[in-house]
Amino acid sequence: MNGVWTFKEKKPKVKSSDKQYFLNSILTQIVVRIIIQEKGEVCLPFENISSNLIRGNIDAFILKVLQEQDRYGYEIIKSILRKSGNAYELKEPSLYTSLKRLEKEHYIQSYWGDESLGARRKYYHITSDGIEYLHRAILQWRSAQKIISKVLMGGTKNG
Amino acid sequence: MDELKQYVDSLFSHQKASSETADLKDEIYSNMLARKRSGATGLSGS
Repeated sequence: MNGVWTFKEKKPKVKSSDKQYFLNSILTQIVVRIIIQEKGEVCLPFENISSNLIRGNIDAFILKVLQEQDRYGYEIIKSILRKSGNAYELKEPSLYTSLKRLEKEHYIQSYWGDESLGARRKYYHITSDGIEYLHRAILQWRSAQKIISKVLMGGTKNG
Repeated sequence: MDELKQYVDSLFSHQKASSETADLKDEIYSNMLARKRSGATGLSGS
């Protein structure tokens, strides 16, 4: 496929303790496909999210935790998990895809932090456009929630 | 080079090198390192 490449799960030669970690990490659980688009944009289209409702709000989830403070990727995942009461864990491929999209739309900006413990961390900052988008997303969710509740939880008389 | 770094490199072994993939590789590596150091193999229930 032109412009598309894939890589499959590798089996690196590692110690058994690390192997368990690798096996459990998201990047070894999946076959990740990275599409390098013509403009050099990277997206990770893999999704493993059970609920379309949740999937449709991932961008807003990310903006919400970035509204509190700038965070790097793993912090974003942890924050969303914590806010959901350990009920929802954002998968890393979805995270990177959303971050790319949000940055392209100028809802967030990224910058590299100081190299910490041997790795440089990429931090994300919400922009004023991102805050506006988040407010709109919250309003839309409230409207959708009302409609869904009326239909699903309402009475059955007269349809 | 540590094994996690080697592992992340191996994920990109078939990818043509570019500044964008290098940045993505660094980002993935730092996030996986943070996850590993937090002691979480998977976050659920942690």
